[in-house]
Amino acid sequence: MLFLLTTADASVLDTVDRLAADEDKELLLISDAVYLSREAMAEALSSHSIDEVYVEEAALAKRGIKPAAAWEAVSMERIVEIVLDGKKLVQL
Amino acid sequence: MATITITLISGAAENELAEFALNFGATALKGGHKFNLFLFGNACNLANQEVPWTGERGMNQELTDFMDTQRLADKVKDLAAQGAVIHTCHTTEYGRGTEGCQYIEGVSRGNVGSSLTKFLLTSDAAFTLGG
Repeated sequence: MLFLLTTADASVLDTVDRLAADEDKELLLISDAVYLSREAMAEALSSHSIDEVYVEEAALAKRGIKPAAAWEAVSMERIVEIVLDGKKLVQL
Repeated sequence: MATITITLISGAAENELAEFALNFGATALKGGHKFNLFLFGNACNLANQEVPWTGERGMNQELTDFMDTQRLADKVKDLAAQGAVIHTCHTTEYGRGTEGCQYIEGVSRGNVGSSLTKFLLTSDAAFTLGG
């Protein structure tokens, strides 16, 4: 299940857990949510058993930050692919 | 080729999500997909043509340049010209007193009952953005 996060509010990860239940969880971080991809947040994201984290490349560049090594910085072309591949997409 | 619909509920200058939606749509169209954009809530203001102030603006060039980065009318027009189908919700326009304002070329008056429903029923992927 793909979740589109738009803010740097880590508390929404609890909602992600509840909505996904037993399904795989993938995050697509855009806009201010890219702050959640920083190395300092890696442990927090891992504690929620997130399977994949995709991070908007342009939003990272605008803020001058890098994502943790485990996460994938993605172009807009890749984001279109991810949206089409996702069976369910929920914005939180 | 797939059809993607975004229901956008954030307007320009509110956050980055309106710009993201427009960039997403342009990229999807370049990739050979169809793209629908439904302008709902505050996003309905993106439907309208700009009405420039002709008097003294009271802004220096630095501030003007910064504010220009948040204006999206040209991007909306370009997206429509590239083939995006863009409809507004006239009820949310009514609520903001803008229902009679001139639309940007390529934007159509619409509503939830027919426009958005048709978009959703004919899309391979759809999501809401903003708020």
